[in-house]
Amino acid sequence: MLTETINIFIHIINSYQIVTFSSTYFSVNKNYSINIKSIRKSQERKGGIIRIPTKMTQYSSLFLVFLILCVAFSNSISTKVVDVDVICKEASNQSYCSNILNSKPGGAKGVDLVHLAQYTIDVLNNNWTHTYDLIISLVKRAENATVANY
Amino acid sequence: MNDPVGSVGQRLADAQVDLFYEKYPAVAKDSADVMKYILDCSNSLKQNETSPLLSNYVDDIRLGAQVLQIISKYLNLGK
Repeated sequence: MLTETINIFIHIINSYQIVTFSSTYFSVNKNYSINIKSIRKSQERKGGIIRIPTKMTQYSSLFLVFLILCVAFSNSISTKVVDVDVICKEASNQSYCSNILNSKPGGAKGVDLVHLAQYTIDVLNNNWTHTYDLIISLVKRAENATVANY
Repeated sequence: MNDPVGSVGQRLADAQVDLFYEKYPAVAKDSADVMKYILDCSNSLKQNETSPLLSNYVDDIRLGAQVLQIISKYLNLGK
């Protein structure tokens, strides 16, 4: 994920040049953007690579790299995917484990851990409700039996 | 059964909230607590004669809690 994002970013820089980013995402004054356009046109005519030797362009591109790395890093944590087989290998009853996880609507393949955990909690809650209802009915039955004995 | 109604149900609700707020170490703690309560309950059922259906239900929850524990372990590895 991180490597892909960096590659995409490098590709974007190579394709559109740093100038395009800095003039689009940062409020550069009109004269500056006009200058950029005129420089780009002249460079395109010559078939050369556009390079604007300003500190602002350098810092803004560094800032963009930093920003994209932060987003990519946070996404890689929140969308961590672990295969169901890997998870269930650690369970004492592997078939029960894979039955639970694969019963997720839409399948469990490629689903991130947070959603798997959410689904497992939902299943547990459901099971717990049934167990609680059974306990209540058993208690009532036991109470009735005790009363009948008297 | 050491008040399993409040314990297991409450811990599952806590786990849901902690998961929402991405407090993964807390999710691990909640799932460990669920497992502890279920094991207490399971041991109690073994000592006292009761419905076999209830034992099956409790065992299902134990296996589910184990799955949650494994998932929360991987969630914390990613942190």
